[in-house]
Amino acid sequence: MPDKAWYMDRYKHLGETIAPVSLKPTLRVNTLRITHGKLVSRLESLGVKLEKVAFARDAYRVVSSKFSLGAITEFLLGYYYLQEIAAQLPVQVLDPKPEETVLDCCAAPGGKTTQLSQWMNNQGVAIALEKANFRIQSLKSNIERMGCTNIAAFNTSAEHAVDLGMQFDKVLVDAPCAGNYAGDPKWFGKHDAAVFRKNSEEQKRILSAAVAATKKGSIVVYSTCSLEPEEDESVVDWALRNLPVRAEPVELSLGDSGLTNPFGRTLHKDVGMCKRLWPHKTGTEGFFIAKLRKWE
Amino acid sequence: MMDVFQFLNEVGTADLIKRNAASKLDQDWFLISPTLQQTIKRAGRKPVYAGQRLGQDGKVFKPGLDLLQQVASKAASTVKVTAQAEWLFICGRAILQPSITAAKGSTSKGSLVFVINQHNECLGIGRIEKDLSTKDGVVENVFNIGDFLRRERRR
Repeated sequence: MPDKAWYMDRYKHLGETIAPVSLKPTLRVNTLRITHGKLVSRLESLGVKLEKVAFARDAYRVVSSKFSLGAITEFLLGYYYLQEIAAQLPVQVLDPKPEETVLDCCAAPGGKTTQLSQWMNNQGVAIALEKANFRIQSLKSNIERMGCTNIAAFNTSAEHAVDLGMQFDKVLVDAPCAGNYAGDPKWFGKHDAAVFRKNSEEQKRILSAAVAATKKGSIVVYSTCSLEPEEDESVVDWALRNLPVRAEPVELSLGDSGLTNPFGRTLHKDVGMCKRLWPHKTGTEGFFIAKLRKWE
Repeated sequence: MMDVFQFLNEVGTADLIKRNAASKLDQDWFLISPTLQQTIKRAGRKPVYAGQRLGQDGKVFKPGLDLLQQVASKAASTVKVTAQAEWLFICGRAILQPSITAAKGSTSKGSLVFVINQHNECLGIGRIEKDLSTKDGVVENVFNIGDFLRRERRR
């Protein structure tokens, strides 16, 4: 498996580098259960210092805490979800509304599923699909803990989304991917280009099924926590050439434009409307987000 | 085995859920809205989770988080505990009388009581092991919200 130097060289070809990034824990206030003000005040009374993240609606950085925020009463009561800031952005881009029928293609452990439900104010319908049996329990626990009551979860692959016999108003494809180095020093050495290409094939199958299950004129958000073009821009490029979708600008105040010429390969120009979050530039996990609209 | 209706009956809130309103998926009970029910019917397959989870059958029924809070707010018997005892209870420990700052309803041995923190949030259910009217009173831990963490570990 390649080492860090191999990635340094690879990212250099993308015009970037690998720089140390210190990720602070972040949480998402669960407004289905508590207001921002009440949670901030309650955690502050326990000695937890929080800082609002300007570009994510419900996100706070944990500036300091003397204990783990994953094992206190307020966590167990579902007042917040420990969720990295970048991971909170795909749902914000999708912007689900209370009256809509929404699909989450790769749902476990449920961070984005419960965030969808929160944005929908527990109204409408959210369908969650998860193919990995061993991840179902965490999905179920998080849905319950966060007080989401508009979700039906199925233990099935998103590749069968069309078999549900529904056409969705909004679809989220947060696809399985290789991940990225921010927050995991051992990440280098776990993956190589063959893995990225293999993931890419599965990602295309899922995105294709997701688009088939989307209403005409409606939105699909495709995201990964990968920085590898094979799993990001190349998948969107393929979608723009092979699926009935067009790209729309991802309106976020941070992140770079999608790469339209990675490793010398010219991609569809609209791939540039996507957003790519390099950890050393955004202070978040690495992330990639694309917004696609199905043709009318 | 105690099911959701036997549980509601035992804690004096039998009218909270109508018998025909709850659905069972494997070992868990759920309240599913008509809209969600229609969606599931259209999907033509059994979900692993749907709507509001009410809880799981057991020797004592294990209520879901929302039902626990709902029932506790109407329950006849509750004990309020100190902040220090709160986390010990969530970790599975019993409650000793000195940690109880207020008690409502039955204090006699064998009664089910809802354990409340200083914010009036329900932490779980206990059964009175030794009468709470004495300084040796003990509430045995039956079920608590730390179950969320333990489910993950069991997995």
